[in-house]
Amino acid sequence: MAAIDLASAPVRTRRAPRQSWFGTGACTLVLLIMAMFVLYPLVLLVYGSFLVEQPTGGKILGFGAWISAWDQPGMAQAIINTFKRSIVTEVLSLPIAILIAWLVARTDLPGKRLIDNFFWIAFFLPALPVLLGWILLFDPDYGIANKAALMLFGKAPFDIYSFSGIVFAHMASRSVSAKYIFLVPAFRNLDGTMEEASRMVGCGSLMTIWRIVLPILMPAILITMAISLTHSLESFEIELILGPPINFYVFSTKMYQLIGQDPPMFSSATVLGLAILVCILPLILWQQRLISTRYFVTVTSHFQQRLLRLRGLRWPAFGVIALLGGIVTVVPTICLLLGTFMNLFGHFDLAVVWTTDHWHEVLSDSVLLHSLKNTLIMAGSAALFGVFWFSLVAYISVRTRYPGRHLLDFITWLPATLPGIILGLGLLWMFLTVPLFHPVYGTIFVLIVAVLINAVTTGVQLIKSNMVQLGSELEEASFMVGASWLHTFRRIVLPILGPVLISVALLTFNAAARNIANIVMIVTGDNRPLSMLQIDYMTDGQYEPAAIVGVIIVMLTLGVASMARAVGRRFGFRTN
Amino acid sequence: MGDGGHILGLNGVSKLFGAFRAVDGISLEIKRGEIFSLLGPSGCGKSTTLRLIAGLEQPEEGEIRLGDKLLVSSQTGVFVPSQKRNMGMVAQSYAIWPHLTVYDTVAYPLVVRRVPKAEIAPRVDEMLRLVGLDGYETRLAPMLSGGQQQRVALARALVYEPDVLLLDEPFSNLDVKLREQMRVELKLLQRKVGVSVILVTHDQIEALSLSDRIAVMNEGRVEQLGTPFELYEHPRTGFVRDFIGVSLKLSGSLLASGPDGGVVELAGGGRLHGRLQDGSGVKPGDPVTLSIRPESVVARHAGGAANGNSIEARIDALLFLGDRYECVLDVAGLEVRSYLPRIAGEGEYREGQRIALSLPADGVTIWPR
Repeated sequence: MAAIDLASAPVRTRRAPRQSWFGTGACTLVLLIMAMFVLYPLVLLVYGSFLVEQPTGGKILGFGAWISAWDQPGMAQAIINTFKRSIVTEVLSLPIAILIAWLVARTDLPGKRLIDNFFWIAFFLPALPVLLGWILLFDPDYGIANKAALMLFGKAPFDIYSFSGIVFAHMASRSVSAKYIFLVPAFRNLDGTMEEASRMVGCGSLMTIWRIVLPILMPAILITMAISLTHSLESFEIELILGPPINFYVFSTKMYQLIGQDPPMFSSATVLGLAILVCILPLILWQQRLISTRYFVTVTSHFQQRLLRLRGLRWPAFGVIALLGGIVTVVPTICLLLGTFMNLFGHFDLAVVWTTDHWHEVLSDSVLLHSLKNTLIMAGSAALFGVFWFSLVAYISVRTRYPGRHLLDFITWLPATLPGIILGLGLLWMFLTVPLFHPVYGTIFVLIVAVLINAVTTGVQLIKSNMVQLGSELEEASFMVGASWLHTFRRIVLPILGPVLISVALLTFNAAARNIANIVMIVTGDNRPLSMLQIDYMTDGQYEPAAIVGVIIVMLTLGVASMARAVGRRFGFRTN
Repeated sequence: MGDGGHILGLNGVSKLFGAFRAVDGISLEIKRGEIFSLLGPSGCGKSTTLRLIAGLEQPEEGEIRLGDKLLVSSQTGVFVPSQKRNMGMVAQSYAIWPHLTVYDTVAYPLVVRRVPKAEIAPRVDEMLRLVGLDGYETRLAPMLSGGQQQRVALARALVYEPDVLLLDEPFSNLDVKLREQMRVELKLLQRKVGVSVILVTHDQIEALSLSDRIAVMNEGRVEQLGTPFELYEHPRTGFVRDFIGVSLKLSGSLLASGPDGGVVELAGGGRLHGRLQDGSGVKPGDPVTLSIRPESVVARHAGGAANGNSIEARIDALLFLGDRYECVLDVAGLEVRSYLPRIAGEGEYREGQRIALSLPADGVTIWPR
């Protein structure tokens, strides 16, 4: 995660003294491939949006599509909704995340490991299956929580199909947990003597947090905010399920709706995607500036970490936060599981409530097995190929003098800031318009490409920060005693980077298995993975099989994620 | 030392980072079997010079030879990579591989060189004994203390009998006591093994105590090259004078000069004799700086018999260091920092006291200002 980068002080990296023409050629090939799959689709999108079809059959450049697109109803509203939903979510979740991160990192809160695990699980839980759990609780008609409240107080408190329902689903999913994960290392690395100095001169605990801790950590908080706002803007699946019943569309669901229409409104969807890109451009530039200034809290090995004693508040604080953590993880997961065994999803009032029929049905259905196979092939190949490719890109960026490495950095960083659905639409344009790609359209290959683009920023960043942290001396020491480049790579670089490479493979697998936004535009019936199968079941109203698919996805992704965490914890990040 | 001819030669070597000349046309000859130091402040190009010798950087100009073999030439484009140079290096951070044991780390260079298995174990054992790490074979290297890590790095660099051993600030990560101990151990080890050593350091004590010869570097160039004794006693430039050792400095103007020295009128009054710095070309009337090593100064309580070449001073601040004092003196209104020797039998100094400093004329040098 970028969290690792937040905490790492800039280390001087030495580059190899010499670049052979063979090396330069190999680097250029990597750059070209990256450009083809990331930049070229975007160029196609922009170019395509300015093509106007003439009555005579030819095409000329013009603003036709840009003007007619706005004839579609709800276009501007979708853009406004996107920002409204994101900003409300961010404003609500940032203070919560800061508070939890501070409690875990800087105080003697009990049960930290448990709380930490809760938020990591919340982060790795795929949004859609969890959403099914929430629907079972908060559906206006049959939601368990709503019914219970109706009986007790005569009033159903909460409708998940609403603006606040959507915001809630986001906060319970990644909005709080991702920020927590970003912020904890920064809070942890703060030198405790700074807080002590403040207390020594007479500042109380709260004053110290307000005047010392928060200002020092402000760069980390700002970056967290910028990154999570960009991520929040691109959200798709929660709005896809909860939005349409109340006629609430954000840009991504609007794009999906436009393409799903008959006939598909490709040009209007493209224009909408590009319009949102223009709107978030300032945010992207701001984020880039924040990251490049790099004035993070730097950590020395001598720093002191002292924990603030909460005294009487210890257990109450633990209670509240553990309850929160449990609510966003355990509760929806149990509801999801319950849902798979219900005759009719959410209906406890039937004569026969429970059944295993749905499991029998789904498990014997070749559709599910086909999708499971697709997911395993897609996520598995993405993980294997991703590790190889990301290491290559990271190595070029960190260790060589290749002149194009800055462009390579830029292309690597781009997918993290661009909404996945736009990248997916770009790929769709490319696979449909470039004859070279016609044969692969509809195969799993295109999905692998799409999920790799989605995972490239995080993967490369993780490997890079480890390479930088390790420093080049370890390699140089091997060269000095006479080892060749290959021998050094095999005996020194790979064994040291091994744990992080395994982590990256598992994370890539996880991201691929849960991905929807990047692949939704290019999935066809034949290569449909589990995550898309679940979407299709849900939009069809078949919630019971959707829940079963959801359970399978949860088991798959959580299993892999816990392996990734175990690897990360076991080996840690080695430093010199 | 140095009876075996030259082992390494640098000729007009320059390294540019953009337009910045980190190393600017350096030429050096390192003799076989000597300890040669590159000494200078941080950023003077000494580490870059070492990395050029190691092959970890490539120079834009000049050539480097190892014995008769050309390692680098900017003209012909020859570049022998690090792994083919047969040099050993100990990096500032020691670059200890985190996943290997002590034994595996030291054996690694031999494995790389395809030394027969039966030969590896005795050579590693011998090397570990030499650096005092026998018994640590199965430890993971990062589990060792700083001093032990450095020994591992040394053993790894020496086990394949390199032609040259390169040391980049080898003691800077150790605490003071350990540093002094490792300094002695390194000198003993080098005398035993006989390898030629190039040492990079910013610590003058380290350079003076370890080296056979030193090149003082400044802004990418060699400022002066010589034995520690020559550099200390006969610095040729103001930079070398101030960088090596401590000098007591006074300013004034030259009154008269002759073949055996000059007379200087001090800025605050008083006259002193001194030796003119070679090639300084100062003429009577020029502003000059007088410089003298504190150990040449003889201090007495004021009021004693005045010596021909002496000045009066007031002690403004006094720091007792055990074997001597560090002090800030007021010499006719000028602030001067110096060391003062303890005076046997005369009682100690106190702050505010007036003292007489006699400066032997052959210890005083006159520099242009």
